Amino acid sequence: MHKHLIKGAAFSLLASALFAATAHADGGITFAGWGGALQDAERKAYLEPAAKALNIAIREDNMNGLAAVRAQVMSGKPKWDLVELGITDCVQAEKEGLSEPLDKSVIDTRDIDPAVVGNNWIASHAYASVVAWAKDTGKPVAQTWQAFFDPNVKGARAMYTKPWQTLEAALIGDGVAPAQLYPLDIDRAFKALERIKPQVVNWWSAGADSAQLLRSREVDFLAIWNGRVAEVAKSDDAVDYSFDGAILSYDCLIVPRGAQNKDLAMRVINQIMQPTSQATLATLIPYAPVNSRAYEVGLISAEQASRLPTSPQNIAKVAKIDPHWWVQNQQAVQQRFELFIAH
Amino acid sequence: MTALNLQGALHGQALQRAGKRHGWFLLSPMLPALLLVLVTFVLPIGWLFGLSLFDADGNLSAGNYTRLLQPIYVLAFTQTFKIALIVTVVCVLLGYPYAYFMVHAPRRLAGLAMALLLISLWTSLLVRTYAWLVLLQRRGLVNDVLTSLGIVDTPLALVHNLTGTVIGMTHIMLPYMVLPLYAAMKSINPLYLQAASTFGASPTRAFRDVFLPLSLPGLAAGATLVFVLSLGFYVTPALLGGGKVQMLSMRIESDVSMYANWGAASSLGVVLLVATLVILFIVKKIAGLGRRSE
Repeated sequence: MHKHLIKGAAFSLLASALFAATAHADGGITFAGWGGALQDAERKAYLEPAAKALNIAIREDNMNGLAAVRAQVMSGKPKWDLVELGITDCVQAEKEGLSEPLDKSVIDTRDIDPAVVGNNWIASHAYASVVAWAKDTGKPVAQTWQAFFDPNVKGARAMYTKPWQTLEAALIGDGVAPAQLYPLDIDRAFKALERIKPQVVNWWSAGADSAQLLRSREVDFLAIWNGRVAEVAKSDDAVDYSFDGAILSYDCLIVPRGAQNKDLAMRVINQIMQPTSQATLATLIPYAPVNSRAYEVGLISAEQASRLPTSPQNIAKVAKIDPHWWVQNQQAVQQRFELFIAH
Repeated sequence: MTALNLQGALHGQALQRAGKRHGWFLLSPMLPALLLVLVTFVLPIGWLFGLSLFDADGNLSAGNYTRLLQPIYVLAFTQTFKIALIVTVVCVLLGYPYAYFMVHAPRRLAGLAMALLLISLWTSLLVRTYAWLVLLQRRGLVNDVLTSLGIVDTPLALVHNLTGTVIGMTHIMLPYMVLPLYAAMKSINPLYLQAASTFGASPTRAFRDVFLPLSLPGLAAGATLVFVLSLGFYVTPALLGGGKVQMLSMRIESDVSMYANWGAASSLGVVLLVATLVILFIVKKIAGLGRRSE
């Protein structure tokens, strides 16, 4: 099996070497992200300023998660120097030895919550899973997780099809204090989910789908990422959401093991983590800074800050996800969760 | 060719040799297709099978197959076969009268029925799936009509579940049922039915004892096609199932994209393939038996 993988990897390496031969000569780096509107915003907020400050070229690529990074690292010579992943993927990558240790003498982490800085990864921005509701349903809707998980609050609901963020929401809904979530009481979370399961119309997997469910009033209230609901609320006055008990999660940066421009990638990370880069991103797309000083540089308006989960007025209301717990428990919980949904 | 035949008629051995050469000659245009099938189908299937026998560390192991006994895989298998079976049955119930109509209706109406079927066949699967989502949702056309006519008080849950999945898949699969049926029915000589009625058979009796048995091969072909294609569905159940419908194709996808576990995904593919072959074999046996008893 390994032989096949190596052969396939060798082929793709050859192909990428041919494509990248000219590009790599200038000593820049290659950044790979999720693509779409997020990467468009990251280009303006992170990459262009970093390229200018360091006087280097930053090339871009798209990828679809940890499996892609794994394949690249196994090839021995990854074509990406800097990759943005979801937070559990970053912790998992460190566990599997797929990433390089970060050089903290280059990356300034003073104003960043130590909980979101690992040995081999650093959170780059935050987003939250919130309760959102339609105001025009003509009946009471859930505006908190407590009401969301109360089967007597009748209404069509939708939730994320993954256990992370969802189990946290269930526990808060069942009365657990946000600070006391971990280690998650899995049985209790499933019991809470069981109560409202008949009223969950859709278990969404793509953020765009969750927005559509709300926009078309397919559901009365749902768990949704703050960026998505902000987009819906922009054109739909009858939609609202709350950061109370919102589950805060992160995207994060890693340097794949064996990256060709490792040292330069560390310097780019340092640029991305600067308050101004962080603040600029938040002005372009509702993804929140993790550098606490980003709110002080005068770029984020009060109106924008009210829509960001890490802003001074919202940060006390949210519950932070613990990626370390998830990496330990992911596979077992995932299976149970999938069975739960499908039964 | 006539020259060859002439020669052969003159000499028995020459005939045999010519026949053999003729056979090879006929085979040679097939070679590119044969090669294509070998390279794009037989070899990858062999590779897939090979992959499924190794664990994540590259050691020979049956772990990928024993893993399939875990509840989540058992569930995916039962749901996949259940959905494929339901879709096949609904397609038979809808497709048989449709094909019957196309064969017996006036030419213009039959042509219209065929055009409608083909237009639906030629429309992108994704477009049709999203169209059903729009039609069947809570504030969709179907529920709007039903509630405004007072037939139901609260909107029906037509989508984001098994119902929606079956509706969408049935629509997509229906042409694959109707077309083989139509071909089989079209080839039934109407004189047989006339003969039956001449001998005093009622129309029902003529249909049951003459038309239906003669159309069975088409029905078997259509049903097999629908069933086997349904086993591999991904997009429609993913979009219309509301996250609650788990099919094998989705498990394969998550094994590959989330866990990068090619061995596990391959074993699923192998088991699905073997199950499909077994079903084809059984259908062939049943259809074969039916033909012998005619």
